[in-house]
Formats: sequence, C-alpha cells, structure tokens
Amino acid sequence: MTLLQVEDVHQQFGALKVLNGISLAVPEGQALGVVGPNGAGKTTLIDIVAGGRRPGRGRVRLAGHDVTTASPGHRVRLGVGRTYQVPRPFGSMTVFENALVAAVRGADLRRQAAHAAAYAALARTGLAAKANVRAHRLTLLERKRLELARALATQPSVLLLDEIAGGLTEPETDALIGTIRAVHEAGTTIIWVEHIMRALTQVVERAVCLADGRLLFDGTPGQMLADPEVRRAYLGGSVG
Amino acid sequence: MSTLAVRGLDAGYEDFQALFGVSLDLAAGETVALVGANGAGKTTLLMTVAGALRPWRGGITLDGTDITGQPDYQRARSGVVLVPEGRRLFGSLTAEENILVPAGRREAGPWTLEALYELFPMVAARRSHRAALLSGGEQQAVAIARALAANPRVLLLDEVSLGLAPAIVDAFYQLLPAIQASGVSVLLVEQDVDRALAASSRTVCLLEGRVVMTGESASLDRDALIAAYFGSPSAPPGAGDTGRVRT
Repeated sequence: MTLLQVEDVHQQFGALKVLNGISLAVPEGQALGVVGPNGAGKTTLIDIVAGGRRPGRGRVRLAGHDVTTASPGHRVRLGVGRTYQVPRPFGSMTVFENALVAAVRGADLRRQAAHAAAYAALARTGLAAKANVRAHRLTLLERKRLELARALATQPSVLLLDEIAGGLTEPETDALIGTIRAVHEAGTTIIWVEHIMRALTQVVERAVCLADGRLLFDGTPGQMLADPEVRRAYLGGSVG
Repeated sequence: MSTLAVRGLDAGYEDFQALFGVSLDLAAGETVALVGANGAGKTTLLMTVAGALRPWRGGITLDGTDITGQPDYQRARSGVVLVPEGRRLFGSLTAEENILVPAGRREAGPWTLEALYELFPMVAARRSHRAALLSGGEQQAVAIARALAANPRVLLLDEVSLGLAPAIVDAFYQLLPAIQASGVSVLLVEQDVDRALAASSRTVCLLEGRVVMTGESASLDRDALIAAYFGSPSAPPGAGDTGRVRT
C-alpha cells in the first residue's frame, strides 16, 4: 500500500524554482534515501511533506487522504514525524522533558501514555541513561539522538530524517545507523535526506536523486552509485 | 618557528572543563587534522584559538607574538580565521554581502570573489539571494567562502564538509593543497577519517579534552586512531611506530 504520495509538487522562492514537478509514491514500510546537489530542493521536499511549507502546486497524500493543506501539527498527529538538520532541543529542559513535549503535543497522549512513549523513545535511541540531563549539556551525537527520540515520541508512521548523520565520527555514525535500521525494521516508513552515502546505503532499499528541482534518478542505492548522471551531478569522482 | 603555537591550554564553560593542558604547533603551510569523538573538545580548541573563548590557563602565540589576551575580532585581523560549525551567516544579507563582510580588513591574496565563485559555483549562482533563503549546504559554502575571503594566515575549519554534496567536498579538498602552498596553515576538524589523514601532514587525536595521540598522517595506523577516539583498551600501546600515546 502506498503510504505517502507526492503528486507533481512545485515550489518557488521568488524567481527561484526549487521544486519543478516532483512525483513520488512511497509504499508503507519502505526506507527511501533522498540525495542531490546542494540547493536541489531536498529539505524543501521534506518541509512540504511535513507541512512546514505549502507547495505552490501539487498534492501530498497520506494513506490516501489529501493532507496538502493540513498544518504541521495536524500532520504530526496523523503520523508524520521529522528531524531537522540543526537540532534545537529545549536547552534548559531535561532530555526526558524534551521527549515528553513531543509525546504530549505530537502524539496527543495523556499523562501515563505520554510518559511511556517518551521513555520508549529514549530507550530506542540509547538516551535512557541521559534522561535527567539538561539538553544543553549534550554532545552533538546525543543531540542528534534526542532529535530522533523527539520524532519517535510522536509515534510516526512515516519518519522524515534531514541529514541526521552529518557531523558524526565514523563509530558514532555506525551507532546511529544501527538505531535507524532498528526503527525501520520495526515497520516505520523512512524518508532520509543524507549526504553520507555510507550511512544511507546501509539502511535504504530505494534511493532517489534530486537535481534542479526534478527527479534525476529513482532506483536501488547500488544502481544510483553507478549511475553516470548521478555521479556527474552529485557524487563526483570519489564515492562508490 | 611555528606559525601558531598552543601551550598547555585549559578551557571550558562555567564549571565544566573541556580542555586539559592541550599543546599544538602549526608550521607555515602545514595542515594538521584534529580528530576525536564528539565531546572530545575539538570545537572548544578551535574556538579558543580563534579567540571566541578565553582559556583558563595556557597561551597561544602567532609568529611568536602572544595573542592569548586578544579578542576574536583582533585575532581575525591578525589572520586567524574560523569557519564555525553551524554556518552562522547574516540571514538578511545576500550571499555576496556575507562574503564581503571581512573585505574591509582583507589582506591581498589569492582569494578574490572570482576565485571563490570558481571554487563554489553554487554560491555564484545564488550570489544575490539572501543567506536566510539558501539551503543548508549553500549556507555552509558561503561560510567557507567568507573565511577564505579574508585571505587568512591560519585557517580553522570546523567540519567544513557538513551538509555539502560529495562532489563539492571533493572540489574543496582538491583545493586544499593550493591553500597550503600559499603559506596558509590549516587546523582541520573532519569526521571522515580517511579524508582527514589524506589532507593533513600530521594528525592529533583528542580524548576527553586531552591529546592522546599525535603522528604523521601518512603512516598513522587508522584502526589505532579510531581506537584512540574512544580510549579503547584495544588501542595498541604506543599506537604503532609513528603514533605516540600520552597519558
């Protein structure tokens, strides 16, 4: 079943056409990687799916329902969770409180269920031991984990990840990959924008490449790494 | 004489000490890679060298002159320039205006606007767009261009490849030898270990705020280096022929 459908989406900032007719159907349970040159429109696409931006043209459907005009908050409650490139937790709140806000506001859970969801999200992301630490004390890896935990605490059916592996060391990246893979294996649909190919190819079964606001490639990660057009527009010589 | 010499640096935030007696030398035209887990103190060290953070103890000299007490803006004028993690652009200014911010103080050098646009064609294409409207990767490219525009003597790079497409990262690292050849010393924080080793002459590994390993990048044992990140007991003592473990 198609969980998420993006239909002929256009987006323009002033004279700059960022998305120029993107259509994409994501089946339930799939992990999809999104790559592309800087400025290709990857984050804009995530914004449009999450509801932070309304497309100039085109539709977004979730489980068959048209959510194009639904607010970001409404979409979170419909099951669309996301992370941001630059994590901005509530610094003076604890790690647990940060996850709790997501569970209460995002999943509309009441007291006990919200506490349970927040703890479960911290456990899944390896942050349980940091539950009572104030978020401003976290290292980058921990902030990224908290970003993921907050998204998971909203209990998403589709999880949108925006460059979550950037800035991590090799072993830290490996640890995060393990966490994301476990989330995927538990059945969550994932759309992952990432430049770290090594991370992406270990989790996703399908990859698309955006360039100049259009879909340049759609296939398996292996095919993508070998694709001459993708290499020219995005990868350059050294990867793959 | 070292271009940049860091001696016995202690630094931190309020009651939290992040650096313990860190010493480091950077010769003219030399690139040193700084590696370590997140939280090891890499960014704190770069910020302290840049003058954004006052050290608690220890000193920093540039060409033999003590700059420990110099505020960041004076250090930038002396040629110590930081590309900070997380872009930090002026959102209401255009990409080009951001790059021209240090222009009033710029030294004559290879990094003209034309040269920077050649390095980052995507910035050239967006030169008249406000920085706030650029994508994350485009902002990162503008931040690097802004630092280079000052034609620095010591360039502090905190994860410059963050958010950049692989082809652009390649282009930047292919240019690094030319930057070194012009006499610029580079202190580089890079998470891609292979790239860090390939781009530098020496590598320094930090663990919990201390230098635990230094060595010639060309002959450093990669596995020993990664083990040193985490203070793993599997790190061989002495870490090979060239590495040096200080405890």
